[in-house]
Amino acid sequence: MLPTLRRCAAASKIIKHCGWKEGPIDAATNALVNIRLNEHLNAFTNLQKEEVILSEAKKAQERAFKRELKHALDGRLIAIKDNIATIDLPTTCASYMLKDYQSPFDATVVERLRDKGAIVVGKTNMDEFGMGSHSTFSPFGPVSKPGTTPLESLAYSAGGSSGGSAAAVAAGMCDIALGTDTGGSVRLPASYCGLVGFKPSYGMLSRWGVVAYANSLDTVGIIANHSNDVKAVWKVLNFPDKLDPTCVETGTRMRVGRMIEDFHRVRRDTRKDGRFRIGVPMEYNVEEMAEGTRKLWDATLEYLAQWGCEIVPISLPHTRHALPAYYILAPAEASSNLARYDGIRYGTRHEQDRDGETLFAPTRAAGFGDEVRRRILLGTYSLSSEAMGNYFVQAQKVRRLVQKDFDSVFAMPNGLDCDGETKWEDRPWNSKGVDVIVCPTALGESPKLEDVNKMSQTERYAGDVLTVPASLAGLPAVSMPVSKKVGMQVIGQWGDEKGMWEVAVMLEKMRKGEVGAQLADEAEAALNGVERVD
Amino acid sequence: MSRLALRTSQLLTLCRQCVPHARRLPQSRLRYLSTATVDSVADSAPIFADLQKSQKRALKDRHKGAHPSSSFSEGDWEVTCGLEVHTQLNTKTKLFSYAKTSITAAPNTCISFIDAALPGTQPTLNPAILLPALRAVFALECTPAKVSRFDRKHYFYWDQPAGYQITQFYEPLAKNGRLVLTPDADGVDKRLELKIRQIQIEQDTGKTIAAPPNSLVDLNRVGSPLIEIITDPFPLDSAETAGKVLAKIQAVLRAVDACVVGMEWGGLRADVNVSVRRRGDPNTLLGQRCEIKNLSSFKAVTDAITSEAARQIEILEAGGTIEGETRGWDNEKSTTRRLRGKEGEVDYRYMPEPDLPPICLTSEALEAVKKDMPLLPDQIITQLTDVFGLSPKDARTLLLWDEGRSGHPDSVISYYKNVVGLIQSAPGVGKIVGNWVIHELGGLITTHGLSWQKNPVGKKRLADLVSLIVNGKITNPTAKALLPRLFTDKRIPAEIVEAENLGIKEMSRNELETIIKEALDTDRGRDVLKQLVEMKGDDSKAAEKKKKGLRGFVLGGVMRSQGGKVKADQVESALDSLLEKL
Repeated sequence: MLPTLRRCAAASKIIKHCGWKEGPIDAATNALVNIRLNEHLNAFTNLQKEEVILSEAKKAQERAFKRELKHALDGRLIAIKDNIATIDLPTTCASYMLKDYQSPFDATVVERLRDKGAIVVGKTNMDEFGMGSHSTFSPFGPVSKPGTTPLESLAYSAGGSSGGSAAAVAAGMCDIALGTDTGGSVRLPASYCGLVGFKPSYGMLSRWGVVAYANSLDTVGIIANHSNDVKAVWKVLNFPDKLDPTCVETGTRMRVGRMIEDFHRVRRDTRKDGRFRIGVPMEYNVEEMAEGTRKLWDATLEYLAQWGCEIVPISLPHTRHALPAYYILAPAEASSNLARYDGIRYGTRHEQDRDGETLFAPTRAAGFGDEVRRRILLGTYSLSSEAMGNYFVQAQKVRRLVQKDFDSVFAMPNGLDCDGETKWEDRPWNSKGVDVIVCPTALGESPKLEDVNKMSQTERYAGDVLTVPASLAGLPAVSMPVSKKVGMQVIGQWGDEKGMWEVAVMLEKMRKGEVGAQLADEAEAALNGVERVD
Repeated sequence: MSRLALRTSQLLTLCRQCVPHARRLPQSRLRYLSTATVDSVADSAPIFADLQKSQKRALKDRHKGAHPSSSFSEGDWEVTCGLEVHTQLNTKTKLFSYAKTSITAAPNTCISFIDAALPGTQPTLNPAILLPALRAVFALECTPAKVSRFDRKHYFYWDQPAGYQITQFYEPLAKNGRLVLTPDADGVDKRLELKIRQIQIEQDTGKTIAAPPNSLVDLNRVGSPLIEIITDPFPLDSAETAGKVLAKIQAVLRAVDACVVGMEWGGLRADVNVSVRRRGDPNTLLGQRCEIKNLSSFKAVTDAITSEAARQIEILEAGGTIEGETRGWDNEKSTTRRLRGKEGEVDYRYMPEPDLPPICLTSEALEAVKKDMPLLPDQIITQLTDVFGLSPKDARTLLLWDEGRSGHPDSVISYYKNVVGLIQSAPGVGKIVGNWVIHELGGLITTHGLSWQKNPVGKKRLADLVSLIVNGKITNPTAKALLPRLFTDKRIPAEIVEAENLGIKEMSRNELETIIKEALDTDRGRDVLKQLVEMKGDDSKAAEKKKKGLRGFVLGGVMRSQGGKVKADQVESALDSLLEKL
């Protein structure tokens, strides 16, 4: 018989320290109730057994009593996006093709979280293989954003492709969720659901066990209610991994880390009040942006200015080419990555293929959804010998230009850019450059699912316009819930999660201060008044 | 699937612990890489047989005049051919995983997660493949690239789990090499120099095993490290030349310990491009080429080129045109058959591999590989003839015996060199040791039906035996009688000689004369002696010959009576003085 936690003074201190309102068992029970109450959200594809969650929570609680908690994450409930491999739950990628696929190994990120005592509550629903922005392309049904009433809960998009992860956190079904962000798939849902959604610099978190959509863009992202939780997970996962050749090695991490430390020390020492210089990219103020979003952006900048930041207008001239480049590169890599799903060694196999006449054409035709097939065809075309030069190669060039755009506006040089003769230590800092960029994450608030269904493909793709550039450049970006309806994105130089978080935490405090709250409320009122412009 | 999952999860424990991950390979590290496969030795016999057969065939053809259809040196048409040779690098584990590269393991037991293309897996370059790959690069005189990259080549096939092969298309490992074939070393009619266009690293596919009505797939080979060697087109005087080029490539790669042996085992496979054009005008472009895929023996290469050239010539002579196409070789019908035409050509959609960093080679690493390069076959022959004084024939015999493994410490040539090194240097010792290794020891090993690896006479014991001869301690016949005993008797020869008193008896001229007289104290002996005395002073050719035979008889008799322990030249001079006296 386990003593109730609340009666134990020592334990309650620990619990307070870990940010739990109650003990792990209470927290788990609450989450399980929320999971049962919110089945209609379609947030999960597969759930961990309740008794497993509760027994894990019990163990964590016992450790809490003995003051033997492994880590701040011990006993915390974590949901994993269904394209991240887990050894105890299927990894379906929300695809009929892999509906029963059981991975024989845990992804490195999952393994690290489990080591710290985190409890995996389930696998979250998503757009099939991460291809989509509203989590509607799933055989498990579309994900919807949790609302205050059941009817409202079914009406709005939770964003995508990590929509299930966002919905699970927003509805209290877990504390923290892992997602993946290829072109905005963590930030967009976080923006729609009023959460913190963080995409780290490319190569910081291991992708071993993360099912590839577009390898050169894929990152593991973290979604939670508060930046503290996101940062805690980030610290646990931010390590090199020999199984992932794109995961940055210790040497590079230390080198860039030193440069960033230096930079921020100099910033604090030399500038008045150590203030940040915030870049506002003019090109991001696109026509399609909702008026309320624009107002909120203004309000955010005004708030930051009052906090003591210097607001600097900047130009990222190749921004408008970023979206088309992304929609050539990502499908190209996807068409290659998804070639392995043929139903022969694993996965769903079509009956016709078992008869012997065909081998896997029917399997692939039936196993993939419309959007996945569309992108495979798109990518197959842009890689074909006749189109390669005009599409894939051009898009790679655009990607490089987008990257250069960012490098030219940041004060700090890109730590990965080592093609020149000069050593990175000797490269000058751009004295007029900015430290971070602040812009909205999404054009507007979460659209109604019925409207999403009416959108054309290009309209859907256009929704990623504000998130894609940071993905192409591999930069760290976090969407902060300045409003519950639209998030503000903070983008830093590669590897500069430190600067990015400092500004992001300012935004998190915006609603707590009087001025900030007033600014946000005004902007939000405008957001409510104006319908989405399509 | 559950079976696969079980096996692969066992493999995971292995690969998670020991995946080394190197972009730049420091010089020191490269040196310690080992490159031995587990079971290559036992499987070397078939390829050796194939090599010998092809050489014998070539020899026979040269004697009786080559088969008319396979010789292109005359007639109206010139035949040009280009080769794409795939050969498996000699490493213990695969290119991007830590599964073993075994050719004898039970099907589907050497698979890691990446080999089965499980979702969420990524390739990690196995740095051990670089040593054999770079040795191949230097052996074929190519220039290695400082930076080379991997690309994906897409096509669907059931033995290709990922739906693409990781290869090097845009920036290969090395370029611009050459290969020289000479009449002496390679049995070609005239010296042939061909250019190697490039060498690239790539993954192997799985293997399909026909088991009607099913096709079974074995993924053990998936991800094995290959290099593809692409030659420029070169003129063919006969189809056999292409086979000889392949044999030479294989011999060179084996000599530097770069590749696994054996076409039959998939250790070496070739695609051949064949084109024909009218003879005479060197300005006309090469004819339209056709590619014959996946030839896996020297004979198949030769036969396929013969048949394909004939097919193209026939079409052209009938006024037709050749269509660029990919063809396959039908071994049973001995013809090529169309696989797909130009319109059906696969678009491989080459894409840079996004997960793998480039291979960056420092000049120190390259120098380290170069410094430790084993000798090439041509260099070994030169060394054996010039330094060790072997005849070219004996040198080639040793080389052939080694099946290209001369660089190994357990090879015949290393054994030979060690034996020579152990003997106090004396003039001509190289030749004497050569004789003993090739003819005496080699003969015995053959009659015992042993492989060289089972040779029971260690280098020290043979060196001891030869020293005894060279230093005049025992006679040649004694040594010859001793050698077979060394197969079972584990003592060193000197010990046996000592124990059994087999050393040369020092005898005075008189003693010897007495012995000769005793040996000739028979009817036949007396007759021989008489004849020898009669022929004294007769210097005619016939008499000399006769005398030689008779003296041989005397010598043999003396040797027999003395158990071979007397020196032949002393017996001869004693015989001379005896004849003088008579």
